[in-house]
Amino acid sequence: MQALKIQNVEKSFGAIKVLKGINIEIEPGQFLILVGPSGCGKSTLLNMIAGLETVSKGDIVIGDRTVTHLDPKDRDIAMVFQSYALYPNMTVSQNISFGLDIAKMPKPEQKVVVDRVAKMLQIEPLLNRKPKALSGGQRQRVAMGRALARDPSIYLFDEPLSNLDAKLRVEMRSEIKELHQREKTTIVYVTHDQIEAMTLADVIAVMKDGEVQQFGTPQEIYDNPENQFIAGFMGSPSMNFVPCELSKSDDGYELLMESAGKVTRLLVNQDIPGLAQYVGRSVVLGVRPEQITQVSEDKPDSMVMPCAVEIVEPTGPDTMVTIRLNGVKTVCRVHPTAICSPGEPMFLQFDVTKAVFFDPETELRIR
Amino acid sequence: MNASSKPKLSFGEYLPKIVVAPTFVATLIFIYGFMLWNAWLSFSSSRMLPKYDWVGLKQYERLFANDRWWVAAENLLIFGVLFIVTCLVIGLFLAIFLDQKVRAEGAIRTIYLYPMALSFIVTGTAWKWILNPELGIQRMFREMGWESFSFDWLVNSDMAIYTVVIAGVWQSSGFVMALCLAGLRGVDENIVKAARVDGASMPAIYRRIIIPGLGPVFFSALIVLTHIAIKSFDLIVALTGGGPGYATDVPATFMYTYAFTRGQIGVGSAASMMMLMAVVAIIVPYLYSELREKKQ
Repeated sequence: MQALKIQNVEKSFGAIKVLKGINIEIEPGQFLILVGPSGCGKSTLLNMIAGLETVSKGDIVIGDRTVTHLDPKDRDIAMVFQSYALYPNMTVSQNISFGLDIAKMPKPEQKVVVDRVAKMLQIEPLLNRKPKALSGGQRQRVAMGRALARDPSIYLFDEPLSNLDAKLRVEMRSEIKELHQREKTTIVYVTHDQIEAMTLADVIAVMKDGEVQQFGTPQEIYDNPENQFIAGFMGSPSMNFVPCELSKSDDGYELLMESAGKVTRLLVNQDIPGLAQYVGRSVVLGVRPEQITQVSEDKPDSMVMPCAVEIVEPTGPDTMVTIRLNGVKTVCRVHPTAICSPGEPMFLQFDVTKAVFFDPETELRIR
Repeated sequence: MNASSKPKLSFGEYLPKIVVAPTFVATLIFIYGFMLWNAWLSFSSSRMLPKYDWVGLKQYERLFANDRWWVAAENLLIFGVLFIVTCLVIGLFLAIFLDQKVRAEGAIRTIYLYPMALSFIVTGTAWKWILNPELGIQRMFREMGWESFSFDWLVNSDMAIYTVVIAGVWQSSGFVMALCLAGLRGVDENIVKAARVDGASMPAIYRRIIIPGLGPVFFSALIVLTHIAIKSFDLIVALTGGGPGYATDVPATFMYTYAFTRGQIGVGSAASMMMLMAVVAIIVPYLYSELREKKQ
């Protein structure tokens, strides 16, 4: 049995279709992330799962119940909001027990639940405070506590970490992950941050313009993006897209690469049948920064070519070097010890075994 | 250069003070100065004309021995409580209804707020005609065939004070509505969503979350309405003229009558000092809480 099934769900506001037939299914205990740029419809979809927005077409099934037109309270869900949405006139413990109180749970039982949740989230000392007297991270915990107290079949998170500062965001991120692993909860989580999506998800649905562009595990989506949008959206720094001429060689295919006035032939040592029809034409090479590195001996398959360094950005463990390939700025991930100054030429090693190719017009993956 | 630019700079610094100074002086003399003058007169034996002698609390004793003063004080209590409570309740409900994304909200809001734009004299006069048994509602129903219909509160000395409440509420509840509406608009809509997911119905959300959150709004409205109630003079003069008899006298009309038409300046001053004390008792805690909040 699926924990959540979204079947051909559509949403229109008047003549404008914001969701165009969404199909997603997740198993109980899975962590689903809806990720995409703002305006892609991910929050609308989440609100529809919650019952806060009406469904124009299609069905939403939670467990074995079709909930498409049910009220939020009858769906057995809990939701955490970006703005936390704590009830400002209530204390932390009243906030956590509000849903239980509405459901007419007796007070002593409410207290047991509040204590359990407070212990789990380490907010016991805050129980008698008002939300106004809490920091952002504490409010976030209380908002999660309110959801946990209700013990629903699905948790919905609407960009819960976006209002936190960078350090706290990383901390809370790993806490959410830990909580999910420990409690085996089913979670649907909306974010525009692809790092959150990569780190937290069991499955990711990448959305754009009201459609699911790709649905799969984080690694699948990272390694095998369906199109250029997904490839560019997932990963930081994002994938480089270099337009280049494809030609046939004895061993397979060759790419013409120009940098700092020198043309190099880059051998494609992958078996991609779809490339055959692009011979003599232009393709877009998608190569991640970590696939262009300093020259080292232990990668015999790689190609080496001289490049002119334009910008050097140290990040600590690695240094990002910007070069220009076929007139396009390209970021490479280089070990700090191998670095040279901007303006100097540098030999870089290309690992094209994991590179991907896109059609320059349709931006679809060539397979 | 340096020498000439220095005085210019200091002129610029003094400019705000120079601009504010006349208003400051006028306020000092015409508000606080006259308050002190009034306080002095209330301890004098003034009658037709001010006298600057000292008779201690004699005028206050005369005031407290005066039945008409106690009628006025009781009327203020009835009017004040009913006026404030009704305004708050009606204003809140109007605001809640307007906040349900109704069509033509702007137009409706203006209609309810419009009485605020009138002076109490106009309100009083209009309601005097509406409530007059010979001209208004009573006559309308009788002409429609309901011969025994009677609505004579305006000329009934037991009920006349309630007509003042009706007119006052009509004028001021729109103001409370505007304040409450602003408060309701400030509520994060995600809080409502969260409460809906928590299973609460809309009435429960209003009762348990939104209305308790409007506390500061009610407090501000309460302060404004209270001082309107204590000062109320023009509404009563226009609507009932303090009558029938002195049945709808309030401290303000009492003070005016004694000080300016009955030649009892001393008693009038004592009455106005009592009103000042009432306003101070409300405003000072308010200012105190406001200023303390700002400091934090």
